[in-house]
Amino acid sequence: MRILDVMIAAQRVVIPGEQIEQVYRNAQAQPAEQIQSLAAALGWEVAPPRAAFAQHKSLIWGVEAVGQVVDLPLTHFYRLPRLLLQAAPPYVWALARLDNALCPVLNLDILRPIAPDG
Amino acid sequence: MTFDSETYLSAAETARQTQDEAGPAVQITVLTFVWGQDWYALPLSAVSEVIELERVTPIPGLPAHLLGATNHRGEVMAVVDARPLLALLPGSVNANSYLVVINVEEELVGLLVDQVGDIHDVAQVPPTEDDPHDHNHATAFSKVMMLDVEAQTLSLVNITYLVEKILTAT
Repeated sequence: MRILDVMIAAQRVVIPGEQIEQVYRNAQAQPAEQIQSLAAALGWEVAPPRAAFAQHKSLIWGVEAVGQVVDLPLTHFYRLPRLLLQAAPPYVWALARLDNALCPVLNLDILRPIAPDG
Repeated sequence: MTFDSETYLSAAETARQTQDEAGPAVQITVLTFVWGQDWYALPLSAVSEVIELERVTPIPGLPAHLLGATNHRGEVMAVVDARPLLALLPGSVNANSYLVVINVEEELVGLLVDQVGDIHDVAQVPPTEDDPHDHNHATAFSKVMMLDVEAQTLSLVNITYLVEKILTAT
């Protein structure tokens, strides 16, 4: 499965490649008012975005860093344990193993952006 | 003041009666561990294993007691800080953290602890009138006395209560 890994709040998070339209290494090159903070949408500590990527719905998500779009074998994806699945929001649908670390895999189609004014 | 043997004999009678009513002290084997500054114990029968905590993956949107997931021999395991569920101050993951692995409805769950002690035989201490009458605390913990360490008491976590709390709080 094709994925992009991004860094937010010192944590790697995985985005399905099919939801990525464009990757921007320099967030400052984008109009600031169009950038949605991925960290804020997840309820995590927000840092100024240094990179960004565009979702296929043309939302621009700001993140601290973007990795590479890579093909990750399906064997690297894991279901959430039942206890976590019951409590986690639906946009976290799996965990992926990247460099021997587990990373949440998001479904951006059901993640609601948070407006800059909260 | 004259010596009154009857006072002592009467007190001894009462003490024996109380002991009989309470029944014989139940002895169990426990694993001791530290939360914050205090020692606690879990019944050894409830402990699957103890592992060093290498890394917890936080997952957005989880309640405070669910710290995230960790890789446990190729399987993904939930990591729980049980303290908030037991009306204790929450802890945090650090370089010395361990996980006491327990079984919650056929699924392994890692309980975050600050330090792991040893295995001891303990006996339950009947509650006294001096104990605080905090119902929740009394349900979550019971006082036990270590049989192999003189005059050392611990709070034994009620594992049934804890598992129920984990399931209902999630």
